[in-house]
Amino acid sequence: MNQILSFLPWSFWLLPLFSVPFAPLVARGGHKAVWSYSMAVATTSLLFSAFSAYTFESANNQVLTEWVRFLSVPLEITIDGLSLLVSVVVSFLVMLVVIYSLAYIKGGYGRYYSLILLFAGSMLGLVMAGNLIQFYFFWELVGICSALLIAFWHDREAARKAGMKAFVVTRIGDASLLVAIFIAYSVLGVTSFTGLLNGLNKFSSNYLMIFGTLVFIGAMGKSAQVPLHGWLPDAMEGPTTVSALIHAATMVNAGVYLIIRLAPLYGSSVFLSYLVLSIGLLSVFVGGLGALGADDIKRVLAYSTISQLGLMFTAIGLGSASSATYHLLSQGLFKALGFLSAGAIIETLGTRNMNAMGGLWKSMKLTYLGFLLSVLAMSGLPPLVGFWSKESILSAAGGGVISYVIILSSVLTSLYSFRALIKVFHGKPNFSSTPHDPHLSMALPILILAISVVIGSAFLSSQHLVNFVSFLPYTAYIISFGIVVLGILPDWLAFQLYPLRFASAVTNNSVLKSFKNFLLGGLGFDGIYRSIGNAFNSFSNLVARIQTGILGYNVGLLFAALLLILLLTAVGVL
Amino acid sequence: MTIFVVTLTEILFTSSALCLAADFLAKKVGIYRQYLVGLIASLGVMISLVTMLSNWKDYLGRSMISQPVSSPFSSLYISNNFTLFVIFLVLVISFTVSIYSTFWLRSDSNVGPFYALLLLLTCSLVGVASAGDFLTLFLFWEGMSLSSYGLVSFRKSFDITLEASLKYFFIVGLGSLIALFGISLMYSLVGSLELDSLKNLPLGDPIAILGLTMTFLGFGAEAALAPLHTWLPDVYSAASTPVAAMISGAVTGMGVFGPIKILQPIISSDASGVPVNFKLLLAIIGLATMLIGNLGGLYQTNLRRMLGYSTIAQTGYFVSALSTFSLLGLVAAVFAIWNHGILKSNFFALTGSVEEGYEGGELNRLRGAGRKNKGLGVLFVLSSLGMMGSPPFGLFWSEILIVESLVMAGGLFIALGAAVAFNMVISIGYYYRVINTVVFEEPQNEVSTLKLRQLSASVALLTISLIAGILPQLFLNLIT
Repeated sequence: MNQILSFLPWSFWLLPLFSVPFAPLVARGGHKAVWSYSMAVATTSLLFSAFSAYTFESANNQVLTEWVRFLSVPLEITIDGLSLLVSVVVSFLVMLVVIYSLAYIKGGYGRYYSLILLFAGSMLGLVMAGNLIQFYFFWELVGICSALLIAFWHDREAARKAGMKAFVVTRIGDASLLVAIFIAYSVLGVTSFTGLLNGLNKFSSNYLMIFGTLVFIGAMGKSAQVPLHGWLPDAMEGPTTVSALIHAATMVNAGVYLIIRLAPLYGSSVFLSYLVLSIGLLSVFVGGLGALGADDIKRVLAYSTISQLGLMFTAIGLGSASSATYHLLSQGLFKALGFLSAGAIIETLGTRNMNAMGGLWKSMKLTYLGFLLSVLAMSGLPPLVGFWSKESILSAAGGGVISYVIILSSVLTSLYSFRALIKVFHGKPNFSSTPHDPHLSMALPILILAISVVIGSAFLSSQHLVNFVSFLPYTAYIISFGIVVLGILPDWLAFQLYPLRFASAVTNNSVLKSFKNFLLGGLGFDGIYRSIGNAFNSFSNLVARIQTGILGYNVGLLFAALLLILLLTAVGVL
Repeated sequence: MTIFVVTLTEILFTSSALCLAADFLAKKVGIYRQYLVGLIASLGVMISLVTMLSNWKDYLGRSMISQPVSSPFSSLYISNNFTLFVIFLVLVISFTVSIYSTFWLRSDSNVGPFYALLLLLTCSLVGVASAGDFLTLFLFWEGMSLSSYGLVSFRKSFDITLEASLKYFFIVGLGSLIALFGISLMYSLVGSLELDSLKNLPLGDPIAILGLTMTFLGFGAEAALAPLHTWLPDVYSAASTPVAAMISGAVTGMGVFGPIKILQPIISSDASGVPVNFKLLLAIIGLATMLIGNLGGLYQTNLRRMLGYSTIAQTGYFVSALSTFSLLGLVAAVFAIWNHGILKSNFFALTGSVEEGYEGGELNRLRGAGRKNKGLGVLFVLSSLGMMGSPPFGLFWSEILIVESLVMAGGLFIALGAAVAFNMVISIGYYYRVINTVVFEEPQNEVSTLKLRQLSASVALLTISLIAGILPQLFLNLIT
């Protein structure tokens, strides 16, 4: 019995990985067949992960076998409250997204479900990984799944480009992480998380800084932090299920998860904690402003993800990894809810543009409920999950300047989320079709997530993530209500009561108009990306010019190289 | 105990002659020519492969430089973990290519000479890999180059193949000359042609370093090190697919393995005497090569040229690993040569199966080919991912090892390690474009459906790479 129990934490991520190659074969039997297959895998995985969390006793490392002896890398997993809790939430969301896919995905079943299963296995493998190399292996795998799933609807050029952008930008971070791993290895001779944290004092302060910075750049790429965030809004070209699962609730959290795992490292250096804090806060505001300007409902949610992830990094920078964990889990729930509700709207209206929506609350009651709860949780209304996690971050800030900045950012959050809510569900309808609530398989996950956003905090608090919840001062509630009200009021005025006057004010005032365009354009970051791309283009042309194809020229190069070597020897350099 | 590598070269050489004879006979019969000759060639390689595998275990676990116990050839050939591993690569690729060629050679008349040259090339590659002294090395090196020229210009009715072959001949031939001069310089100092005696090379002497550098430069021409890389994209785009697969997978790798053989005795005895400037020179060559390869590949419209530039970039990584002059760097480079060889020849086999008689590889003409043929699409996606250095393919681990060897070397090498890691990001720029164009975009031209047997070479090689990616220790055991 004990042996079975000890294998449980392995089973729930190895199972999806082993099931991947069969998915395309099962897909020949049609959508229902491959859906049931994936459903069975996802459910089993959830049950196993829940059961291992349930039977969890003490934190430890389990080594299955030697994997790459040459690098002294065993196949090992870290079993602790953090890894198991995140695993349960990840496998829970995977299962919900698979349910949702039954009605949502049309065509390309083999590709879709095998990538989703590969993603599930790799993501869970990443969460459980006991050393950095194993972590990096899965880190790369989730990146591949993400890029290929963004380009899932590859008929659209935008989707293909977005896939490439995501791949390249996140890989910049990955390269940095890879170098960091070996810097740690060269100092400590280990890559396991525990060995690394135990040996922190062996680092010289310079090496510690370089190592921490490089790891953080890796995390910035995956978790879409400024300036490596530009891929995430574009990633919304993928199916909404993918956006909900990968680009809101799980993969983008991987960077935060890595930094949480290494939190003592970031706590030990003032430079590193300020680095994490400042990039986090910057992303909070860049994401928030981007969300305020976007007209595409999914882009609003994407920018909001950037902003929320920034908040998690802020929490780590403040030295409170547990509140970052709490927010990571709660954001996963309410953001997935937001995306799945948005997916239902996009499905029935056929557009993502919020200007072509409006007044949907009458015809799509369940979707409205889902989106509303997501928005309220995001704005931090008690007693939804978002409230507790945000409160825990605020209390970590401890009343200093940072806490006022966080409160300000919460007002921004509230402002952009209610703007989306009112534009989509209230106001006048701007469409001709007759929208309706989605099919049962799509409605069910929305309902389940809506419930978990309401009662999730009870579950998360029971995991001892936060112990102060019971004696929160009453001011916390007042501030939270205030933030929500400050968000609703301007939005209600601008988009519900006086939408025409507001719109004409924006178009007539040149400052407001250019500000709106600035926000809509993602605060000009795409221009920077483009100029970097152009730089590479001109380098590439330069290289192409060497390639003349003229033989005499090529032989000349050979002799030039020879001469240079002789010269270097003669001078005594070599 | 006679060293079995000699047997391998004999088997391969005999099969080469047999191919010519079989071709002569088959011409009389008139049908199934390419199958008959191809069968003999494949059998020859297969027998060598079996011979090699059955003898391998005797050599495992020995030290890096292990001379065979008293044999008449003991100074001419050496076999150690590295050489055997590379011979294994050569034989696997050669076997796949000889089978693949039977489907490919349908419309050609010179079937016999083709296979004869292919086996001669394989024989020379085995010889280069296991040569124990400079004379043997140089002899087989020339054999390798000669059979490569012949194979590149095999379809001699095309102007571009002749031009490419001529370019190849001139640059690589000149390279050999320079290498020969470098070898003679080193001989003047050591007084022996045996590679093993290089451990006595007085590294403080500028003549020794000049000799090493010239040998590196000369052999580097075959490996397409910058600035001697210019022949490679031309040859890759002009050569026929099986030849390109062989050259990209085995010959270019051997261009780096030649220098590795020379460095190995130095590194395994004591590398502390290597002047810093020589290391730096190698590091700069490595950096320049990978940058030229990756930037050059970025906007290529021709798939084969792009693969060529990618090979240049990879040689840049190999040389960077060597510039550390550490055992780890050697292992990383050899493992990378192996993984790259498998994946790159797979890529050419794959490209060849869609080109169908069209010898140009314009990326646009392959648009959407992988969408019509789902199997082909999957193979293209997997191969591109593999070449980007993504898990779970073998190249992932070898690139990790290269970065590791550089970072462990410390100092400026950490920056070079970062450069390698970021260069891998640039390579996504063009490999992802392959996925985009070949698999994701709407087909423009009529794409014929492919049969499984046409893709079998690719499937086999990809499977090997996948195994190396999931269980890398299986292969690392063979070289460490």
